[in-house]
Amino acid sequence: MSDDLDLAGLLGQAPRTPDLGFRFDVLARTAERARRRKARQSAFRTTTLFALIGLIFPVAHALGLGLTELQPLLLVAGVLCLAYVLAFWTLEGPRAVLARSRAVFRMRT
Amino acid sequence: MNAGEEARLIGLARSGDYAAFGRLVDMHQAAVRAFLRRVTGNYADADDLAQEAFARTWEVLNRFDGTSSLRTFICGVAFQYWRRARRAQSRRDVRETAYADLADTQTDEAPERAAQRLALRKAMEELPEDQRAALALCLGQEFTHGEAAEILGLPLGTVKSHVTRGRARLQLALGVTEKHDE
Repeated sequence: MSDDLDLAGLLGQAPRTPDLGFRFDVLARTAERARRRKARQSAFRTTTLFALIGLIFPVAHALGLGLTELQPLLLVAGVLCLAYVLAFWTLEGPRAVLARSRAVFRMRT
Repeated sequence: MNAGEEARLIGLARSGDYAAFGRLVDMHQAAVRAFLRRVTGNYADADDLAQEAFARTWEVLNRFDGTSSLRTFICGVAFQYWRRARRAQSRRDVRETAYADLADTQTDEAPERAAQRLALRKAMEELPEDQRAALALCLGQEFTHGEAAEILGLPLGTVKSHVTRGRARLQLALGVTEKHDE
């Protein structure tokens, strides 16, 4: 009992292929990891965004700017944020109105 | 499947095609799972690690430059996963579960063979990590010494030495006298 193949067989046999169950499990795991990665990135983006928004007032205060001076800037920032949220929701939201357009863009890239 | 077809599937998988990646999984799962089964001694753990390795491969497929085979690349990822898992579970007493593992994997084999299997597993457990992995790769003749060296990140001579010494240790565990026919 000194043959390499026999030793290998005793240590562990190669599975019969193709094992569809294994493939399914791999793809499920791959999709789950992709979902988690996306969620992590989204959480990071959200945290960064709100941290930056929170920093506006202390920074403005440190620069000697009051609420009156900041008002036009804040108004523009607010409108831009609202436009961004609406655009994002339209493209990526649960009822993506422009999903078809997005698919066309994806095909062309 | 030829190399051109594999390259085509890799290209598709890189662009996010799950079906192409599934075919790559089918092509290489036997070698990866056999390697991990031999190195872990536990079929369930091995398949779990293999799935993790394939899932990680999907994420890092862009790093595959084609200088080695995809099978070698995936086994390299699997080896890293096994090493990490081994360190995380170093406190677990493998010997206590060895008999249970035997019952899980080979229920209809002769008692003599089961005893041999257990002796081999014990001997494998006592080998250093790199030597164990080199044996698991090369004994089944699924990988050449050169491929094993790439997977393990070791010089070719070291891998050959690991295989020779490791084989002798396993034969000793089985009570077989060493052959000097290298």
